[in-house]
Amino acid sequence: MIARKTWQEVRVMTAVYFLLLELMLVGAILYWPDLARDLARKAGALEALMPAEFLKRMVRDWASDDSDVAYRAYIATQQFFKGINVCGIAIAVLLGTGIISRERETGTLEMLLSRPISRARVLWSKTWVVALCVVVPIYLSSLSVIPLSAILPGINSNIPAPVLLEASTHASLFVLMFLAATVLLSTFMRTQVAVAFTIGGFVIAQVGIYFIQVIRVGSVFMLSDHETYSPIIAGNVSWKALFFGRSFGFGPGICLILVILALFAGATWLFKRLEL
Amino acid sequence: MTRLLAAEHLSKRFGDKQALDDVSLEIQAGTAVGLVGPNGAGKSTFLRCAIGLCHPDAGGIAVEGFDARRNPLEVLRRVSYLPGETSLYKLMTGREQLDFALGFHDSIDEEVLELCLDTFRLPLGKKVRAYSGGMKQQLAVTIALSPRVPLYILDEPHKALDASMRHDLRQLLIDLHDRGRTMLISSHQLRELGEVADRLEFLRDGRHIEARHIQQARETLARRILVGFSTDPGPLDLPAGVTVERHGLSFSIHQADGRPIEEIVELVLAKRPASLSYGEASLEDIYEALYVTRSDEAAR
Repeated sequence: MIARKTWQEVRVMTAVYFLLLELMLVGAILYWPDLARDLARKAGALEALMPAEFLKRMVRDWASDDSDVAYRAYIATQQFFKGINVCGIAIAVLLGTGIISRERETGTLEMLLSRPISRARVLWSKTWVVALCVVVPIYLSSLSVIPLSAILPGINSNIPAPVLLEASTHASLFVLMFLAATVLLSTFMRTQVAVAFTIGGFVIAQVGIYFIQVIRVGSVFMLSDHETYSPIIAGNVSWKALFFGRSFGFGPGICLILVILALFAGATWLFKRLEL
Repeated sequence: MTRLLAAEHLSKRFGDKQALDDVSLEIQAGTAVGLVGPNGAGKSTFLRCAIGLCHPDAGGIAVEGFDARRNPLEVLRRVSYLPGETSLYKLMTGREQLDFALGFHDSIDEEVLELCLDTFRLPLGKKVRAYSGGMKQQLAVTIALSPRVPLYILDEPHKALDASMRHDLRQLLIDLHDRGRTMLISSHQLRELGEVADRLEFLRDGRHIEARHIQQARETLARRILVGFSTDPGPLDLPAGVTVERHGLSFSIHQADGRPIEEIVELVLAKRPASLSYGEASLEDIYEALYVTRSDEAAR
């Protein structure tokens, strides 16, 4: 019942989010033939203009002699580093603040928490719907690279579904981490604006850190950048390596899952103790 | 009678404000209890503690033996609660809101639901955002009264209701009480509450006012005579031990010794007053004696 109500509340925003991802992807793919042509002639000059080594590497990947490799690197940047990081995090925060904070602001939380249902169930019923609304468009949009690459003019390469699914899984976990953090903050911040402002401030600071060469290792976006997705899309990272690392330890996938679980467990613990 | 709700030495503090201070209260099955007090007296905090929305700093509160802190779900299964602030989903229709809120309960009293709907005649097909404040409150009351549970906790059920709506609600609550429902109702509407509740419990600054203080106020008020004159009556010539407060042509006469009050009334009637009242104190008089006089003294 709570899940259905939550879906009714978020379905329009989810559709808009998916359309936005698709529009950004279509725009990026349409631009690729021109960019590839320019890179073939002026990649060296463009690389020289880049202020940081990681940006130079990105340009080098795009300008690879192998057109398949170049296209895959370009999609890794456009869809996963840019599209999903921007839209995915934004929608995770937007929908995440609605789980508790909006109900609290409108006063409906008091009605909901006075029903004979456990608080953990209230939280979980709302969160899994929002999580799906954040994640499913990531998979759908990323898989749409295949038909779009076939349909749109000037694209002679394509990307196999398994690597797109693998990259989508990693991107989804990264975005879900922000959703879990938003839910956690919502349990002790009273307004949606306060939660969104805090998460938004954190994201902006992290982006700022990411683009400063000497301290970028401290940015959470190191987990979800061109250099993360490019090897995955190139087919150089197995599922096992994605989750457990190359030596069967803690890979980025497991680390993200553990962080998400910890944040959500914290949110549940605080929500159970929430006073109105 | 079975003890349905028991609060023992309940205390709750919000920052500097002591919202509840050592409040103990019991409610027996089948009774309707009114919780009275000015804003900030701690009524809503008490009700929220009762259903686990608020956690006491000390003491405990239990419904049918289940502590609201340790077994909140068991308490919520036994209580239906009307929040003090109307909390409805504005984008739902009235019918959707009813189905959603009542869908969590194991058992709905269809007869009472129909009774509420017949009484309030709400446009259930319309979205809640199109409802007036009174209609929203009526819908919230319907949601609170329809589940079949042992205890109904209603925080300001008369809020936002006009005189006609209040009349409907009063009849409804009386009807439900006659059916044996146990209710704990907080309200500022003393007259409405007085007609529904078997007994009233008073809170002041988070403290429960003991019954003896209320009885004291009642007895004091019973020995007060209010007189109004159309022209200046001059000195009233009342015996020693009688206190007279004059406000223009109105007099408040208080007789503190054991002399029958009728003797004083006889003396006052000789002055041919335009109006005179004395005897049994109304609920409003008791409330005024307990709260308004006190806050006036504090202001002075």
